[in-house]
Amino acid sequence: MSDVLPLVKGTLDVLVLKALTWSPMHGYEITSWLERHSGGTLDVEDSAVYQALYRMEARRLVQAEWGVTENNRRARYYRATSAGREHLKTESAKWLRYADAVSGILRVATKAP
Amino acid sequence: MIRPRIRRLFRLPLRRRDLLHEDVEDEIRLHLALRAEQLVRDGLSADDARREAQRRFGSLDEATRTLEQSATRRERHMHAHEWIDELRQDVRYALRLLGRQPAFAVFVMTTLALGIGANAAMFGVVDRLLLRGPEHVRDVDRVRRIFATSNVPGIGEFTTATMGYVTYLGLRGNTHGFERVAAYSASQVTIGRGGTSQRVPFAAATADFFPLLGVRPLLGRFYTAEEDRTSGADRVTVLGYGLWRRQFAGDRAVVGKTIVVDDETFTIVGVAPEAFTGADLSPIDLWIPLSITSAKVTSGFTTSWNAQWLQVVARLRPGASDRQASADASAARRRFYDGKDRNDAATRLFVAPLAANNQGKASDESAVTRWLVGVAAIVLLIACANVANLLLARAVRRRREVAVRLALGAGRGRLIRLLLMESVVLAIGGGALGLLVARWTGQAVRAALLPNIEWASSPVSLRVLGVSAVLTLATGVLIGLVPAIQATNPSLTPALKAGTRQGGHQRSRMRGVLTIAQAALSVVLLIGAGLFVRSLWKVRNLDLGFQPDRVLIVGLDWQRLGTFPKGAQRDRERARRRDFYLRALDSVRMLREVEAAGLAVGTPLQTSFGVDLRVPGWDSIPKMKGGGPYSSAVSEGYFSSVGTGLKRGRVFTRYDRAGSERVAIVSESMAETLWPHGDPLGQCLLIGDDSIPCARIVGVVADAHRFKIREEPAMHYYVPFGQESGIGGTAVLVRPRGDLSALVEPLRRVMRALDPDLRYVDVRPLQESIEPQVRPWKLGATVFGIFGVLALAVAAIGLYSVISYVVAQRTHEIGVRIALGARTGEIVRIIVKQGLGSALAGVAIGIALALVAGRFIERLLFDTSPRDLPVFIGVAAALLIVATIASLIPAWRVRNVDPVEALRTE
Repeated sequence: MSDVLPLVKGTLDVLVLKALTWSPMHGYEITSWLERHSGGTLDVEDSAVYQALYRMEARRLVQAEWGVTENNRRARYYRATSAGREHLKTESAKWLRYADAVSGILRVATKAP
Repeated sequence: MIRPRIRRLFRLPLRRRDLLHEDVEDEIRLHLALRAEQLVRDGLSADDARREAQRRFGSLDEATRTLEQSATRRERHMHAHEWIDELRQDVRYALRLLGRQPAFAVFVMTTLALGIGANAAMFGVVDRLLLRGPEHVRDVDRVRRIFATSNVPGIGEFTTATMGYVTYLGLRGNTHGFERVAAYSASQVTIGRGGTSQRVPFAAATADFFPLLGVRPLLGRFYTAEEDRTSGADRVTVLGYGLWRRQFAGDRAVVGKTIVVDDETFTIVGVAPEAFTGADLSPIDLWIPLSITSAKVTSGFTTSWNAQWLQVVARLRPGASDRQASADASAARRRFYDGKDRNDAATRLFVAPLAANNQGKASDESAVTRWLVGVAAIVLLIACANVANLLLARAVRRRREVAVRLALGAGRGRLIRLLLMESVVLAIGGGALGLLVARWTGQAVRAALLPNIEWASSPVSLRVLGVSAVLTLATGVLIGLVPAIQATNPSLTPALKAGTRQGGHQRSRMRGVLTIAQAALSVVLLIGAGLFVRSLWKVRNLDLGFQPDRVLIVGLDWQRLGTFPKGAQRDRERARRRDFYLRALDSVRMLREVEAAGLAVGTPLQTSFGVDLRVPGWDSIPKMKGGGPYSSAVSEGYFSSVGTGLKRGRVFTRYDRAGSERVAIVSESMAETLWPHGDPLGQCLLIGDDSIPCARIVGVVADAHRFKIREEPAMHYYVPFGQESGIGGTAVLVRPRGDLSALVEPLRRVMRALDPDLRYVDVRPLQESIEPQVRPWKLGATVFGIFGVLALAVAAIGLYSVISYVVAQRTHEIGVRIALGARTGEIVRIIVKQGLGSALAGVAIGIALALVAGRFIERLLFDTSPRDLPVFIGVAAALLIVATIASLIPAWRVRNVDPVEALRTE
């Protein structure tokens, strides 16, 4: 894992929310979803995901409920609330705009002599 | 596991906090296990996989700790959210419930609105009159008015708030207890010239008056001490806000412009802020330096001990008490008094709050106002009792629902909150409606009962809003708490099994107590109303010795005589005016609507004079408690105009005038005091200085009050208009045939036509001068009366609802009775008896309370005993009649009870 990207602050929340748009998941499912979709390039300890979840739960962006896994183990399942989905929409739009702007500048800059 | 929705639906508690720790550990444990399993599947050994899983998770201890912390934080957040959510739900639940019974909700809210509104309105009045004091006064608690008490031989102690400029000067220079001292005097002036001129209230005040009160001008500035001088000072004035808006249309460039005041041109230097009324509460349109107007009173006003026309106010030094300040002021006066009068030298000074009356005591008005606050509180209590009563009845019906919730594990506190929410929602609705009530009643009370007060704000001010909000919440809790506690009483869980019929008896005892309380409080209010109405009636029918309600008084305002050059020109003008009055009298009598008219120098309720008097046979005139003897000069027609009866002899005729034989008429008291055994007619009065010959007494008239409704008798004598000496200021008194107001304009026209130079013609009912004195009783009678009737209505509805409830509860029993052969008439009688029982108990308790409270109200009544029998009997009868009707109507429904139906419902 040499080319890991340090995570920009606040981004993890958005990514976790993105994961939860598919279905309710427990913590580990979210972690592995993120790894799968990022190609394993996020530099973040697993515990950070839980921090993000708790934080968002307090802000009512996600909702938690105890349930059981396929193997009958007790797990805490998280789902995005409507406020959470709203948050995801605005935040990802913001993020994409920002990324566009930055990459636009960088592209111009490299062309200049 | 209970899902959140279900949990909330039944108001079950959130997850317990001590389980959090376990939850967090469970979550971490599962994560590590799943990660390790994954790594094993990827080919790691079990040990390596576990280590790698932990490494990826981060430092286990630290992560656990931070996660637990954030989990706690999360729960706290959730609790707050949950709480707000619950609140919102409770409110919605309460609204839904009330929506299902709109009639009930409207009734309760209206009842509470009357209670809360009455209180808000009364608070608004008290706030202005007693609490807040005049507007724009900084730290009004430390501003005091100075009073003087002197002992006049023969009359006794005499207290006044009126004093001379010397007292002001002396206090300013010789005291330690005051930060500042200022003087002012409020009166009326004419502004403008000719037909557009008008009389406006003004105050002459020393320059230090404004900094003393701490007021800042809206525009420009207040005048300076430099401008408050007798000579050489420019004529400057500060406009009151009201006049500035009316006369200058709120022109912001008004400073520097001029205004004509009593025929002199004044430069406007500033505008006072809105509702600034100085140290009193009535509006002031113009502020003028004291020295300018005082010089007109007497040129020697700065040194004269005889001229007394000022009010003196002072600001206490921090820490100085009223007693210290009073002692300080009295001691100072002893030092600076340089007059000759021995009695005057012994005069004591004292300080009292601005709200005190002219005797330096709490005024009748403030005492009555205080009572009215109590009355408003009682109305609210009755409203609360009534609503609590209705809620109790509902609580019984809802016992099943509550029991289900309790059985599912809902907390009792939580349920009480849910039930309380309903009453709070009702109270808030009532409070909102109450503000409307407060607005209307506040306006009505202001306009009808307390005019001449600058209110400054609408009846619903911010302070009133605040008080209403507190009242509303307190009301909500008060009316809901008992029903809520009763409804959630765990011992009532058998309710789950039973129907709604059982267990009602206990509760109806509580309701009975509330009904009796309502009746008792209504009785207290109605008795209060009765006593005040009787006082008012007595006041209205009081024989003052004249009839102010049938008389118009016309005051005329010319340019000051002083502005005419001394000598022939001034004498000519004086003669012209005297002649004018006689011509005016003739013209007025020509008007068809006029029954009688007369002239007077020294009129009742307006002015009274004392002139040196000697009576042959008396070394000195005996003193009477009311002072005097007082003197007036009146024309023929005067006594029939004001309605003072002739007792003996004759009244003045056209031929009693300047130059004719000197005659006089004396009051009954004077005749009885001076000639208790002999005949007053033909006796001699030596009026004025020694050179003036004897005035022969030709008649005796009834005693007439001079200023007040309550006053001690005094001697009074009259001389013909034209024969007076040393007194001046003529008024025309007119008795119309019909409506007083219809004659106001014609009189004005007649006067103006006779002399276009008149600065102002003032026509007003004499009654206006007496109205402020009647006000305390009017206020008491009106407010007690309205609230008393309201209370009676509310109590009647309360009784009605209790009886209806009893009838509904006992349908089964009644059915059995009827089935067993009881007659419905008999059952109706039993039920009505129950209602009357509550009413009788209420009347008894109410009368007992009224007897106790009567002792405190006695001072406020006029010639009425607080134990006035007719009032007590009348009120008791009224209440019993209303109670009979209120219980007869629901009891009558018994006749509709079908025994078969009633028994089948079981």
